[in-house]
Amino acid sequence: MTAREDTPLDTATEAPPTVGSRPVPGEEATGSGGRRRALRALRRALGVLLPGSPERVRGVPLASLAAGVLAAVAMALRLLVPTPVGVADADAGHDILCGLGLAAERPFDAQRATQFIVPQWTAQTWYGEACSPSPTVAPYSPHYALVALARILTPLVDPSAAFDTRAFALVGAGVFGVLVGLLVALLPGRLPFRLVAAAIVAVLVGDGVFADFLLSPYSEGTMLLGLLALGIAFLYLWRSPRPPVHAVLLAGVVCAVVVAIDVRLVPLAPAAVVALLWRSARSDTLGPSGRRSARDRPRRTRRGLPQAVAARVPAILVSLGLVAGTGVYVVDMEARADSAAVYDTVFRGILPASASPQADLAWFGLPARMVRASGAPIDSLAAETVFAGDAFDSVTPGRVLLFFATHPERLVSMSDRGLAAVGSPELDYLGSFPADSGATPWAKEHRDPVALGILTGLRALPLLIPGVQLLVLLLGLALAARRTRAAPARAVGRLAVLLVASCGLLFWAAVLGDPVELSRTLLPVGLLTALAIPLGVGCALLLAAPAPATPAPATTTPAAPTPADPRIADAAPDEGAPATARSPRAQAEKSAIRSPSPKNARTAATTRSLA
Amino acid sequence: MRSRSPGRRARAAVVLALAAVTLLAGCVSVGMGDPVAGRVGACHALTRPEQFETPSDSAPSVRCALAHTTETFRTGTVPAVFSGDARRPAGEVRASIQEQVCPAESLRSYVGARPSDSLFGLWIVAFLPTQRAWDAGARWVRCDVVHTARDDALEPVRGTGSLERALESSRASALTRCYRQRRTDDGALSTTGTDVSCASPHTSRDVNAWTTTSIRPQTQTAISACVPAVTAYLGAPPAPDAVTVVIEGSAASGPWSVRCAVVEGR
Repeated sequence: MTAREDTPLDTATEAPPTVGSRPVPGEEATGSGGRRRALRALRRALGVLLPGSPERVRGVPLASLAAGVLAAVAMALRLLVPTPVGVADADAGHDILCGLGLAAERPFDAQRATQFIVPQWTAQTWYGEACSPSPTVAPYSPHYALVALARILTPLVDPSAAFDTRAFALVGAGVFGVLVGLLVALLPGRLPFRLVAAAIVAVLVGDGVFADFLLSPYSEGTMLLGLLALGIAFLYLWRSPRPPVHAVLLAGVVCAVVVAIDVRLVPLAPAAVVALLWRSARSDTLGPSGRRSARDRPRRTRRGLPQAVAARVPAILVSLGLVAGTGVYVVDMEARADSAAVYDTVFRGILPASASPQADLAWFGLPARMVRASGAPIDSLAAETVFAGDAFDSVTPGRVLLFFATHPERLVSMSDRGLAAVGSPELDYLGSFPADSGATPWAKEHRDPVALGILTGLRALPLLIPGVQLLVLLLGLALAARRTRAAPARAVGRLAVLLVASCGLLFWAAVLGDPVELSRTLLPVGLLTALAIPLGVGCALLLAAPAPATPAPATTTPAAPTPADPRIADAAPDEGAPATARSPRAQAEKSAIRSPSPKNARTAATTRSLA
Repeated sequence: MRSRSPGRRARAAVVLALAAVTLLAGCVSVGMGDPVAGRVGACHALTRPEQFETPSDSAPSVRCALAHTTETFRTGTVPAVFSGDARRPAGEVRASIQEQVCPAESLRSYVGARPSDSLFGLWIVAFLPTQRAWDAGARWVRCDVVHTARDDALEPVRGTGSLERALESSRASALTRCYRQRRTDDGALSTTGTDVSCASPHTSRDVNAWTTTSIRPQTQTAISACVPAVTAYLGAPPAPDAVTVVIEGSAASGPWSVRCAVVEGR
């Protein structure tokens, strides 16, 4: 154990005591001395929560396990006690689960069906269009894997039901616990910092506007868990300066799984591909000052693009697979979709916000009489004029995109609607409680309103949401580019960049693709926006943390290993330590590699296993 | 390498053939409702709200002697104004088609209602071809009657037997409208009441004569206006206290509705 490990806080080493700060004999009794002691205690207490730059963090596995279990139990209790809280089904849940031969025990009155949640689903044989496939959730969606697990657990909750959303909540809580545990394990910094960060994430995800979907047939709950899983997969990928192939594969698989949950997550794919290819192949050659050694610099320059491609072969292959898979998936889902989405975009998105709807109709090649359908639902008599002929068949999604490309000013009004929807994520037309709970119809629960408060607050100023995201993006880029930080810390910066990019892609895809139910479609954007704030704070803290202790310059170390040495190239540095900052243990391992012996061979294997 | 025995191959072939037959049978079964509207008098066991919200019904019909919820009382074709639509009608358009193709008069005729019978708990639902059948040119409309427990909500009652000429049978009471009213201090029936089926305890029976007025009518004036309808129902002039009215509406909601009823269960 090093001296640093014994120090619970870096204030002693990070902030040298100022002159006169040490109390002199006789001063303790005075008020100013007491205040100084209190201030020091406060600084120490707050300092514990800072990430710091620990070389090693002990007790991570146990803390991860404890945090995961605690998060799972808390989420389960939050969803099930004292009464189940979820999201009532407005038919979209039926579309998702009817294909499994399930039917909700919901009332016949459609309005009453949305007032309260109905957890019990029974077996039902459906015929024809009474069970239409969901337009957004494919039959092979990973959402159904969680549903299948929930069906196994359903007898524990309700033996008479074929499926119970309370069992789904238990499964979701379990997955959530695993993700929180992994988050604690993969975050950089001291253990208290990791635990606080994970707790903040848990509180934000636990807000009713998000967590209630874990007790519903909707795919949103799985989508939100998928977003967390995606972030964690990339934290794992980026925590090594040279990510091992299995980490690249894992991140690619998680990307594919998350995108396949719901077609509304497809916009994540481009961001994920860029993230997969984003690596710092040179970071393990940095000198102690954070710069590359002079010996490596010209060689890298000479190799150029081939070297960069060669270093990314696994990521390129995984990215190609992801792009191809996503393309097939989109084509498949496009075949399931009908013209409703295009109708909604044109007649409920573009025309109502237009100053000259007739001109817009003319641009699309549609007759001016169709203007009476502006703002009308697709099954209204007003919409009848749109489908009376075959003119509307010529309006394809591509033509809608072309319209926005040629009318960019329309994006402003569309983005205003989108930002307003992000700022009001609560679906107040869908109740949260069961009918026998005593709650009023459409009542929502607000036991954890943190994310709702943040998003509602951000709505106060129109450009606050993009402003916050821009700030987080800049902090993320700054941290990702800070070479004096260890890979796990820079991974947080990259994660911030990925989060903001994902936010933008999901936002525009939703705003341009589904302008009717924006509040629900933009829920993932709401969650990412809420998460962006603590992530930005985390980036700032990691940027402000003291640079890790560095050993003597590498040039003074005889026979220092080079990146060409595969034994070193494959090995990740210790937790939180930069590639060149070796702890005593790492130094011992290094020397062991230099002089192999049976005992040293075991040590080398340990080094490799850390990768 | 282990070789597979002919017996195992044969069993596998049989299993595959059975699976193929099952799949084909499933396809045929699902598509059964598409080509034709079905026949008048066919019964259907639609037990889920989603089955009524969907414009089409492809579920196989059931024997009317078994528990069912709907019965086809008429078939027709989509009016020309909608038949050219590329998209199969739904929502408000479907409701409009229902009004035109499945009028209440045709239902009254099917269940054998007399002019003085006010129907209770009978809903009309129109089913159209599936989108695929619509694309193939099918334009039929199937008019189903649904017997519901309440008159103000579509909550089907599972029943057995046909509703054809049901009002000429002992089931008439369950399908006709009566009112449950309070007595006022002077012993007369209140002009407000709850709609119930005549099989339930009630104070008066609707004689299917409704009028609307823009202002709230005086009770005695409304009763006087109802005497001819009650006379027609009874076949003789009613006693002075045998006629009652149920007046609905409010100053805010628009016209007032006056329903004529004959006092029963005194």
